[in-house]
Amino acid sequence: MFKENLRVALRAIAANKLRSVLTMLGIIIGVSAVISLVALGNGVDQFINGQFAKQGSNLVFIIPVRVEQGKGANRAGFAAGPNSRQGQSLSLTLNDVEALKNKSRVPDLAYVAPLAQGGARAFNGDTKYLGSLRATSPDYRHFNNWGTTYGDWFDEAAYNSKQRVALIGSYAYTKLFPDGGDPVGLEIRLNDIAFRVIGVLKERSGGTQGSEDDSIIIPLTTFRERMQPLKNAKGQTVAGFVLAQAADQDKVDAMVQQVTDVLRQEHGIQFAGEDDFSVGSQRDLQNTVGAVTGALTIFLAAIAGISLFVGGIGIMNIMLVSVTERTREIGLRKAIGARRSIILMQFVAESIFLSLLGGTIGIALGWGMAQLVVIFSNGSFQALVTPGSVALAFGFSAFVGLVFGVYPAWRASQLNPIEALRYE
Amino acid sequence: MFGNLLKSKKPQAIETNGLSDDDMEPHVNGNGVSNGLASNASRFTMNNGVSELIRKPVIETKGITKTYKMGDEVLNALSGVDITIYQGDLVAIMGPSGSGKSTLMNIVGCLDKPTSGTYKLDGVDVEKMNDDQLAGIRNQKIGFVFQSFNLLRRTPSIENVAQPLIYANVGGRERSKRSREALEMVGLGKRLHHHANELSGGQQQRVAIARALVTDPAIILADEPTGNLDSKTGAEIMCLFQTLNAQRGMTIIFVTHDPRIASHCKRVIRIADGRIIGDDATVDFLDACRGDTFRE
Repeated sequence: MFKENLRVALRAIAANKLRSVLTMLGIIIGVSAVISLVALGNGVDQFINGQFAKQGSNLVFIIPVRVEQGKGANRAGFAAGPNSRQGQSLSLTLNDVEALKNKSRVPDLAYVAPLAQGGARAFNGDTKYLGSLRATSPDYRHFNNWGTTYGDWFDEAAYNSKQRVALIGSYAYTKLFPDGGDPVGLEIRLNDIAFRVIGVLKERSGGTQGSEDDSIIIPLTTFRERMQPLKNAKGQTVAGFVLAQAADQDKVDAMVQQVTDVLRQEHGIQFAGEDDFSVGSQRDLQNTVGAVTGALTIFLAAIAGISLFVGGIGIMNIMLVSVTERTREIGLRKAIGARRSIILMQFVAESIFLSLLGGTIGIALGWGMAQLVVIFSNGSFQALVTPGSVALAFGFSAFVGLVFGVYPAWRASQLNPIEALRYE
Repeated sequence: MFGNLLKSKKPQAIETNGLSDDDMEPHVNGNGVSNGLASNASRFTMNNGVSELIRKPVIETKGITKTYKMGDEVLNALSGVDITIYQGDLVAIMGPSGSGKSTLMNIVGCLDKPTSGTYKLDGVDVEKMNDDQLAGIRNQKIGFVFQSFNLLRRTPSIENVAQPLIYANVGGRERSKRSREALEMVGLGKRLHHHANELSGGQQQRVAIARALVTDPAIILADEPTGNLDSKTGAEIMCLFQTLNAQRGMTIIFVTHDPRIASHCKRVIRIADGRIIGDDATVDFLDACRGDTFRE
């Protein structure tokens, strides 16, 4: 009987090809939207996770936070004087970085480095390059072992003596030195200050702070001395923000606690006082981004779901027309012995088959659209058509066919055979 | 009205060789009908009183009424119909439109239920059955032939014929075997895979008759089966019915207002205003296969 239903359904669909295609269009669009959007959502998710993985998930960011006046923790907060920038918190200083280096106070910390960022207007003679400037300490090289292709990182001595030395990112290097060659020892001008090139960094695309290959790295001490002098009320040099890496992935939470304790002590924050900094682990960030992309995927899937619903209504509409059109056929089938349930099943089968066919076409189309996006993005991220989303789309279209097919089929099954046979 | 019926020749058995000699094509011929079923030709006997006593009744209705309520008015479509139809009958139920003959046909065909009265079909009381049970009865015991054929378009004749067997849960192989036999019986053994819409009207009606035969039903109920056919094709169809009756002992009931059909039947039941007004054995009836046609 199932085979027979399928055959009848196929014949009915084949008899009205154009109408069947138009009917399926809603389902095709809905399913292809679900498939492609979920695939792209998964692709974006994977892309972001990949970027995080490059950085290592044992990384922690310590960011200065502005605390409201009168709420306690502003002692180390705002710098007075001409260098003070409105609204910028100056709570993290190089003294804090030194305090965090103390193994007995922060045992689970592997590396810590201050980081300040700005724009770089760089000249090699007349060759101009606009990139980003990163000011940090020699320990920054330990974050993911950032090596050099020419020269080497500046050392502690150079850092402490505020030398005007610069490391050039691989992309910045191609722009500043289009002819290539070893630039170590050559002079470049950064924001109108002469710097000596001491190294070229290895290529390292990606990263949570954007691509680092376009940046030029200089000692933070030099940056604070010559480019952006910032000191807090105590006269300590402001770090900007601070990067810390835990010795182990499992130690991240412990380290966050240790860092928090040390910084609160250093900043003299009372028991009930509010932190004037924020410690965020890569994992927190990853979770947040994951939650956002997840919500986005669900949102897109919901929109696609609405189009599936609309497609279902289209199927119901056509099935109702089909039942009316085939009234005599239904009458005949009843006359020669088809029970109500058989007529019901016949039309439900037709509706399910129609929507499954639409669903299958939609899956293929959605997969194709996702691949197209991948091609246009030059493969920078993958579209993941998971078996789960295919099964979901397939199941959902069968469900739509069932739900929206039942009412027309029920109407067909309830027809009076005498009237149906007489129907013109 | 039936004046010339009386003048026609004596009743006689349908001769099978008369069929195969017939030049009309397609036709019932030697293949399925005449050889295997020739022994049944002896069943072709007139409805005289003696044979009725020994023959088995397939339809017995007692006091069938059917009333329709139309607003405040109550319409009595049937008011107390008693009929008995025996196995092997070739009977026409005749009446003008509005006489209640369609209502009677629907009840006899188990498409409708009587308001009151009893109806025994092939030994089964059907008047109290629910819709699904009636569907089963229609499937097993009744073969319908309609004026407008009611075949499934774009569907091969063999599949059209097989439809009732599908609903009877007959397996695929058995189904096609019996469908082929039924089509051969009506002379369409060479058109098994033609789609219904590729066949002529007469051929379509033959497919419909094969569909009615395929379940080996107790009765064939034919509602104006020649109504959409020209008189020559109509005669061919009537010949087929007569042959099935004569050689296979099929009980065939026509519902018609066409006196030509009635003239090819052995018995005519007349109905008017919801009552039986006449039930007569036809003394002289016309043999459609011999080209006897009724003329007004």
